[in-house]
Amino acid sequence: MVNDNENEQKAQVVRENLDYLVRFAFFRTGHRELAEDLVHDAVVRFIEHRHPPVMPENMRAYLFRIVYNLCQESANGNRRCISIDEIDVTLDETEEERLDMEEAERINSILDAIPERQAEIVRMNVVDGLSFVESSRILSVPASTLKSRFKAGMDKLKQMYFNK
Amino acid sequence: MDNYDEIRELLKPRREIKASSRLRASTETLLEKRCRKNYRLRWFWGIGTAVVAAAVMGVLLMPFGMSAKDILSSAIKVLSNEKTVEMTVEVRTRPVENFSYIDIDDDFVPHKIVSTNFDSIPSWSVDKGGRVAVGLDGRIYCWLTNLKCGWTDYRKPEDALAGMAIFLSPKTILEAELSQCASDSGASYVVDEKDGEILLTVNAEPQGDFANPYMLDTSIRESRNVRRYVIDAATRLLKSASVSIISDGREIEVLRVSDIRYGGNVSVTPPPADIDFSGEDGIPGAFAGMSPEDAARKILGAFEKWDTSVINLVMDPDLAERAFKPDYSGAVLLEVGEAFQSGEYPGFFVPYSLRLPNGYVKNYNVALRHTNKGGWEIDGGL
Repeated sequence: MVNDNENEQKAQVVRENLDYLVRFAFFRTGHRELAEDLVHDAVVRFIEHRHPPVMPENMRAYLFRIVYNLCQESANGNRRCISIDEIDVTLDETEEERLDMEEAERINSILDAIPERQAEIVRMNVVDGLSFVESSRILSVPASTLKSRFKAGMDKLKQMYFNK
Repeated sequence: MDNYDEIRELLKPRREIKASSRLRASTETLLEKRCRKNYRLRWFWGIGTAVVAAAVMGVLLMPFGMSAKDILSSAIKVLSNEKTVEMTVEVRTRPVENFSYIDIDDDFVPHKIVSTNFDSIPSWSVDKGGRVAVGLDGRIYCWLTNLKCGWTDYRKPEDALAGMAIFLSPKTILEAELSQCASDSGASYVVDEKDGEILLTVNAEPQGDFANPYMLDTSIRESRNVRRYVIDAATRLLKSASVSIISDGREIEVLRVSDIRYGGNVSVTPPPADIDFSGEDGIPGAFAGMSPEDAARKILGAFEKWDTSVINLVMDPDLAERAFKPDYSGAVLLEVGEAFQSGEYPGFFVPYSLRLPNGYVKNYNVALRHTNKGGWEIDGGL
């Protein structure tokens, strides 16, 4: 009864946000295939999650949170090490993939100039288009704290790039 | 407010990143499977026919010379002498759902079963926590423990328990297996003996018409499944049993029978006095003669104003009031699709789109079937 409802709601959330999730993961990993693998894993975990139940209004943020955590794990884990096989693979990438990766590098190199905690909220708000409330649910940090970090990060970037 | 427009413009992605068609397809497969897996109507092999089959099995003769048919027959004969049985049947389900409900993603829920047969008068009880059924003094009761509402309009155990009726005793379990052998197609039987135990393994193919594969892999009988029995070689008493289904190449155990105790001093407890049992007439059904699509339109359309003159004809009024009204009263029917049949389900599945009071649009399939009086009743899918 209600659980069938929950499954339908989860399915709807996944379908509506799949592109956003891939973009979210891509600009954190810089690698298209890895980003899609992480999103797929996240979807599996999201739809398998039972307890405690996720309220419908929190499902989107919960799903992004799973992707975010997987990206963090990926960044902190062995995937940092690039094997010879992966290097060989990148030689075969298409022009589109190369341009995508360059765009990710461009954005991340800008954000590397500010502390990670500020960079993350700036990335979420500006690159991912997430509100402070949604970001608060994903990062489990109060929205007011995130707004402060956001302002601090944006002020620094403004000073660096536009000297204002 | 500070003007961050220039920084925003600098950080704005200049490449459009979207999910690939590969990811979209694999995600869609995941989602569809998930939604289908939670819909179970029936799940078992051969209910209602406890007839011992003729020698149709053509099974393997085992090294010690007994066929699977011989073993089952001898075990059934011994079990007929047992007057009381207690056992635990664990099923992947939810405590409050129908006895027919199985979901391979759910945890095991124990069903405490007691059966007695004194003076050839069978009594029994099946308790899965949120739902209990009792057969006593010629009447059958079924109730939801939290809602304290129940029903008594059952003529035989299968009406209340569906496939779970087979598990009222080890004898009925083995009789059902023997009966299934006669009608099953594609099943293979392997018997072995080890450490004083006889091990019977049955590998079965999905049963039913899957021109529309909606019901494929949604129940034990409608999946490839493996059934295992352990029988004491000396006494021929059933010691344990299990059922697994094969899904996506994986074997998943969905049911196990254990802790079987014979001949104990047990009795079946009557229902508690505070359960509100509804009448004995059963669900009358509505809209006889209509197509399933038209019936679905009328029935689901009644949710908007919670028209009980319709709703109480197609589902139990107490259950409708307590379990469905909170979620569905005020729901607006948006669309009804073309009805279809699948697997072994005798009724129809009708796709629908319903906007719930919370704004969510539910797209699913309602299961409708005919009542004994010819009208339609809701059998699931809400």
